[in-house]
Amino acid sequence: MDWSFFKNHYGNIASVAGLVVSVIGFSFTLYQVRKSRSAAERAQAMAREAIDRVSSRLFFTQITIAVRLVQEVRSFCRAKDWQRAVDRCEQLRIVLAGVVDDSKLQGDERKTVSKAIDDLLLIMGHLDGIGHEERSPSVPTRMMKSLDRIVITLTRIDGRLRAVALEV
Amino acid sequence: MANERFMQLINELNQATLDGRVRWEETAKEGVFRVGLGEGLVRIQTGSDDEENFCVVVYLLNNQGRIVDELRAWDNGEHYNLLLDLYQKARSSALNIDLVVDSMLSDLKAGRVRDLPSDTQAEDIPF
Repeated sequence: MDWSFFKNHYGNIASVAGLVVSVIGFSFTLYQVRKSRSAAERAQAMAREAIDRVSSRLFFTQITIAVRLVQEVRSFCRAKDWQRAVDRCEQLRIVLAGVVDDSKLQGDERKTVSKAIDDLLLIMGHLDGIGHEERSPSVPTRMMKSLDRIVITLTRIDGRLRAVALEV
Repeated sequence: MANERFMQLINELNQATLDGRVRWEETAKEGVFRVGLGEGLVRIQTGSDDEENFCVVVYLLNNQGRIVDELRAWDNGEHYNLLLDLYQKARSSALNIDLVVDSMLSDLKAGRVRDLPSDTQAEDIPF
């Protein structure tokens, strides 16, 4: 048998076999890369979902705290306990300042919360004045009405969040 | 002390209020008015010091309620006329004064008078 024929024939077979193995190997590598990528994406999505759940829970808790605080402000104003009323006002303002830019607020809610913070600043100024005996020790009806409006606004948001939680 | 951009905002707000393009609203405190714009609020109010010197103050607040700038104009001082003018326009806008006066003028023109409940009627309530 001619040596060159042997070399060409088996050389060709070996080349083809090598090519097939390379293609299979490359395909397998691609498959593995794709598989690990989709696994990473799934893990990322799950992590994002978990973060969303935690932040929703946190937001819901903040709104519940805000509802309780505004109700306490009203009660302490009625009881003429000015120091506690100022303290709750300040706490409420801080809580609302923390949620005002939250993406979970819908439509006009952000604007309403922003106005509530402004009203609380004005009410706090008035209560501070009473504390320093600069003003008569009473809260004007207009301010009590503003507090009522804040209660309604926050209760609505609270109700909406509860409804969403029940749907989930 | 207000910066130039804030002054520009006040001037444009003054014009927008005059044109009726913005609507001011009342706040929790009598005689204090605000308008929500962009990422914050502009609040205008009057005040006085211990010696009864009158002033008009405009506050620029961010969404968190922090005062980021303010302009206070004392009676006959710098910017006083501008701020007093803006305050009056803001008050008029918030209280719908033009609407009320227009309705009164139209009633006057038509010779109509709205009947107001008399004081004696209240006493007639049987309980």
